[in-house]
Amino acid sequence: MYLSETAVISMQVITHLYDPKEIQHFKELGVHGVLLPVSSFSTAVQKSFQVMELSSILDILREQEMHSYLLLNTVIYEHDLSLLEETLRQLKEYSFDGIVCFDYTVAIVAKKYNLIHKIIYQPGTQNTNLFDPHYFYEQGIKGITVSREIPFEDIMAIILHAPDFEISLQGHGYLEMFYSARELLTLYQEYKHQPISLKQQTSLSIEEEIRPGLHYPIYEDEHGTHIFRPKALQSFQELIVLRPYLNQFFVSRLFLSDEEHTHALEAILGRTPYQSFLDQYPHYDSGFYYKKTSQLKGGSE
Amino acid sequence: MKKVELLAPAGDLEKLKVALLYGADAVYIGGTEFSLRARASKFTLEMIEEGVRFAHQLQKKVYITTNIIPYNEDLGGLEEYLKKLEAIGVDAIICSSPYIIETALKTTRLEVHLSTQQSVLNSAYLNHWFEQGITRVVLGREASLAEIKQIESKSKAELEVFIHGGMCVSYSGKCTLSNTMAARDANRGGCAHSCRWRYALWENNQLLSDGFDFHIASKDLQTLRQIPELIEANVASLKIEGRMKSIHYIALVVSTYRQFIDDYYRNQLEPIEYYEERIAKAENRDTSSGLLLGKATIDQQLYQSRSEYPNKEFVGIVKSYDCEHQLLEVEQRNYFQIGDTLEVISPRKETQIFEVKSMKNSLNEELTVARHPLERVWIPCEMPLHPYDLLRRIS
Repeated sequence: MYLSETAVISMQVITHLYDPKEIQHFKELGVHGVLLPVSSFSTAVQKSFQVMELSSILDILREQEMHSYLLLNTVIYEHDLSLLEETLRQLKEYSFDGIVCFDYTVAIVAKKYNLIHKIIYQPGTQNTNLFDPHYFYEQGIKGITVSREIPFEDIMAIILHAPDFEISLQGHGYLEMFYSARELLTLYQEYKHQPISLKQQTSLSIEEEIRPGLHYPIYEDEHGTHIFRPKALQSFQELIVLRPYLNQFFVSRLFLSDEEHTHALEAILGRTPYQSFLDQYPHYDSGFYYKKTSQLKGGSE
Repeated sequence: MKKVELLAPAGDLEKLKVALLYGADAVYIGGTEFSLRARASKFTLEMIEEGVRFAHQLQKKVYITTNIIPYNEDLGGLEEYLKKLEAIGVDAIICSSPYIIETALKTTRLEVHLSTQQSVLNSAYLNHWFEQGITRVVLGREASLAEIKQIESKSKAELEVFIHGGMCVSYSGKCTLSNTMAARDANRGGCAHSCRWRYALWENNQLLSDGFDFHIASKDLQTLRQIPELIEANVASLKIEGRMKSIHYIALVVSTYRQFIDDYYRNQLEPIEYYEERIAKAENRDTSSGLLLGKATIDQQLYQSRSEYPNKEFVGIVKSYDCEHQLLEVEQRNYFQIGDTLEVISPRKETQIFEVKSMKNSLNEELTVARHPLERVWIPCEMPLHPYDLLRRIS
């Protein structure tokens, strides 16, 4: 089945840009827009861009009639505030479609520069119900990305009851399940007296003792350590239903080869049958769409 | 300067009373609804009412955690529940979800505190919540002392800071390890503590670790040495983590911080080792000062094969004392026997010891050992002790 055979297409397929030279390639694939990680404020990405670099990239995207979303997905500390203000002040002069943020502080500072209407709040977890979006709508932001750990029926309920703003989904690729400020790989290397840095390597994984063979990708950069689900998420079946309702569908690129990334985009955009993609790349599952979690124990407060 | 609040956890009514009697100014507890720590959130509305009554008699406070990050199915009956908490007279609720916060602020007069689940680490975000009606913010555990001071200097809301107990190694509220690995939702009270499991580290097909010696988990928090700076930074509340901990743990940790804080305000601090030795009796995991001194080092991480070791020295809790017959009624919590020397931990006095020379059960039968948990035993003791005094075996 081709996804292009289904429903009315209103949804933008958005993926990370590593190099401005890729814009033409993405355009030819039919990708609607790109995510541009902003230096100093992006993490778990292979490439980020200085504010000054963004100007020319945004010009090219505009010429190609492609959408542009700036990614600021670090946690904002007190000492980050002045640089964040300066960054948003500079970005205010540019033309782009949205700012995707992990920490709501970005929205608060963006308000000072009349940019709050461009904010897409993407905390990973936390956008889990149909009531909280109304709070963010009243704050004047552009939209939210629904949480990655909730069932498909809850995603639908959020979409159907959402206020009049944009709803997006991180629907393809390796999704994060843990983000720590601690540099866990560096600390381990230090503990083991190993001089080799493991920062920004995409070839690392951790394996559980009680479930041998199950590997979780792990990635560290200057902002801390991220651990990802052992299987990548695919949403081909779900997109048949979701496509008319979603504004953005984000394709995560970390840990995917360029070839797999291209093949994934082709399948998502309906240029190739998605079953062929799944046959070629068996390391995908449907995440939490049909997997209920329980409330048994624990918490942190 | 207003004296800093000492805030303690309580997983049930007994722990609530112990925490307050041993020196906490306030406790936080979880109701059976809308709270993280599902297994430690056992307080029915009737129990909350009893806890609040007990606390208010002592001029102390009770905060209710309503801090889940809810799914659609979790939110039924919220307004009614909040109104009941208001009617009971709880002193504040601790929330994370904007919807729960808004509902509380619009439909009740409850004071609302922002949970650490929101990982607030800067003054801009903190003041945003103050403007929404939040009076206190629990800072993320990643804030250093230097940052806490800077945040406080710009903050419109009160600050609450964790000073002791378990640490989420992930940013709070952002972790779904447990969801993935154990199908238990960490943000709805189901955390399986997957971060404390053992892992192997691989680079492609090459094993980098020595077996499964790669650890994510951090040591627990213990910040006695940082308390003076936190007080001087004008932090409003010092928070102890651990609603699932034992009464022994709560009594020792609370009473040690209580004494330290009081001694600090009186300018009569003992050498720091005095407090550290006392608090170490309660701990069953290695501790560090967390991220208060800045970026994590290997000293903050757990690299041992076991992250916990059992603490069996706590043997019982005093239920009553018969002055006429000089008999102590004790509820057994761990094995002890005739000949053991027991140390009394009490909020009222310096440590005392006595030897168990004989004991009887509730059938008036002589015992040589107390081996059954929650069994009542009667022990001759010349010292008049009080309910909620705790007994530790020291030999």
